[in-house]
Amino acid sequence: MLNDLHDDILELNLGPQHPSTHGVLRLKLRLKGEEVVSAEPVIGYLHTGIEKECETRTYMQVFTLVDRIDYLSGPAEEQGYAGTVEQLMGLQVPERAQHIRVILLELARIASHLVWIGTSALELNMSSIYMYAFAEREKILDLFEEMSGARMFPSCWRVGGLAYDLDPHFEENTRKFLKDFPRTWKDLDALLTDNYVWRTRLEGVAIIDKNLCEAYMCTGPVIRGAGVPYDIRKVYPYLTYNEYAFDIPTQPEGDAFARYMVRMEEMKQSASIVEQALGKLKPGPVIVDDRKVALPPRRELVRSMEAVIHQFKLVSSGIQPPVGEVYSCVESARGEIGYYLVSDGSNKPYRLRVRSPSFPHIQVLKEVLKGYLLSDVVVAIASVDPILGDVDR
Amino acid sequence: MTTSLGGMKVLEVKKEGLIDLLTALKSEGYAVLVDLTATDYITETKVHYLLRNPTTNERVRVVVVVMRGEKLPTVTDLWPGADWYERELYDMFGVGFLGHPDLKRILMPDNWEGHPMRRDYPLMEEPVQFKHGVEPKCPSEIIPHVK
Amino acid sequence: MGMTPKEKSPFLVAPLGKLINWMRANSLWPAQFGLACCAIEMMSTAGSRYDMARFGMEVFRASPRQSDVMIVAGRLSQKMAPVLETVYDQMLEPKWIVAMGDCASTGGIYNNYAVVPVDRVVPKVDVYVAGCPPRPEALLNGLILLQKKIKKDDNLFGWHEST
Repeated sequence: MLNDLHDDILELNLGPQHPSTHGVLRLKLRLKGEEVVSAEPVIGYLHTGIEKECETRTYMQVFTLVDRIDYLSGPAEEQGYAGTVEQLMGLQVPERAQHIRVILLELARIASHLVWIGTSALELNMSSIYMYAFAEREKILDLFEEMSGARMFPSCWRVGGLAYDLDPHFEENTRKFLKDFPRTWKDLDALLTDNYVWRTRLEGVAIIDKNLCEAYMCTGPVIRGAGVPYDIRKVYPYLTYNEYAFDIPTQPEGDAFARYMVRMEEMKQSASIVEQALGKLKPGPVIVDDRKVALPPRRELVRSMEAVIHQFKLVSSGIQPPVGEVYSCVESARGEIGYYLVSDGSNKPYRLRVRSPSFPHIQVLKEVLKGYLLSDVVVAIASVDPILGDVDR
Repeated sequence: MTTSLGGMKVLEVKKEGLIDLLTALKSEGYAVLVDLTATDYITETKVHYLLRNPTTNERVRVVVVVMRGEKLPTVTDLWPGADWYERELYDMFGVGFLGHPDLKRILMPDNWEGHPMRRDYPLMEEPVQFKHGVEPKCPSEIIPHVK
Repeated sequence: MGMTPKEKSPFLVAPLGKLINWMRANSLWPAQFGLACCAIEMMSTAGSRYDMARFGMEVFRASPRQSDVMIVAGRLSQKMAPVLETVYDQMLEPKWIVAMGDCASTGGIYNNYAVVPVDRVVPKVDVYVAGCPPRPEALLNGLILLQKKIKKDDNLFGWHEST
């Protein structure tokens, strides 16, 4: 027992309510002085039972539930779910809707990376970068608000296309944002990339290499920071991503600084994709023509009885996909979001499983944090960019 | 037994041959376990393993049917990252895993009883109250289940 | 002067009471309890467009012992409710609590086994801010309402009536 008293190990609880854990993550750390001997992440503090709730809602009502899983990239979640149902029903989304979806997805990716930079820098006590990043993000949220009325969750995705078309001013406002964005990017780059404090704190911390990524199923910027060019937009292309010219940035080192460089470069690539997509927009329909899936336009309700019957059926019971199972995935700002949908032919999904990207990323922290200091723990969690909403669902 | 579904091959296997099949697939090149999930059909549970080949980017799905109360062998020797996925399956569906290093609840509190994602576990909704004498309704029953 | 805390403030110290209430209202320090999507809107409110610092609330303290108001932003799950109770008990009097968003006020769009509204855990919630997530202007409106409530408070020593 006297040996226990002289034991140098301190058990510290980096608790669920903490300013630097990116949400409600709890880490049970065992420290020897300042060095971490072992770290065990405990999750479950944000579990909301979304998957069970999705089984009791119709396919249209699930859009709002699924939005809030990864709450920083709402469009990516909606696209994943809509793409899965469309694959199950064999629908072909019109081209204009696909280009608009790509624009919204890439803008959401830029917004999510800006939040990441802002909060990571805030945790290292650089609060002016937080202000710059959030001010830039407000411009993107203004664009979303013009599109659909809501800032963070533009729920304009429907099965088969979009709910409504773009505003006439959307294109010129987006072009204005794209003209000003490179200047902010250069500001953030100049403040951080060659900054002595930033580099010393981030280089060499939390090295997640290629083998660890494969063993722990990491995706997204984590695996691209380890040198593997795995990006779902290139490997299993969806929407019209094979028509755009963009690169996949990778860095070989696998440490926190490499992941930072990957995310900065991704913001630039996303801006270029938005510009290309704006050039490809042609007038046309934004939702599929099939009346069993999409609501008829309002003016048809006055003329045709069939349209009224379709509207009634769709609103009172909803779409009914055929029996089957399908898995489809999207690339969000964090990694691969996979949707596994089991349908039994009724108007409510039988099982909707969301494979979230941050779940394995937090699990890998158990392996990676040994031997680092306590201040590196904060940097490590920030560099992996977890969102606890999609870990706990 | 293979069936193709949206381009992805699905292999159904019995519980006894599961580890052999997964080891064979892993040595053939399907080195990444993308997802480990389950669907509940009241008397039985179907557990799915989704594997991906990093060089050819092909995906394959392995399905195992296990009855309520039976246990499956663990795959944490092949993929250490399957640890938390199996804990989540135990927590939500009640599927036990033999040989798992530390099988305990992960998403619900430690002293919670029941396995929430099973189909016979109630959602525990509170009915929404309405004014003027209208009966309270549960949100999931306002649009009824239609086959 | 022999006053018990339950007495209303006598007329000699009423202007002093008003001064103390004004000071408390204009320098509220929030304790961080950002849980989910509403936390991102709370961070936007602290950003440079919808400035919370002009109301004196930019200093988000990590420790509950150094703060006056707790903004519960986001959905509260079964595992997190005891943590909320512990953190709330650690705050010093006078303290206020703001339930931000639909999930904290009523359970929101999640009507199931896992989400708990804040008023089941805390004895009394002062302001409910509606929205999913509430716009930053709505959160600022809620905080201004809280400021008005504090300024009208005639409980000089800040001890709340125990229920």
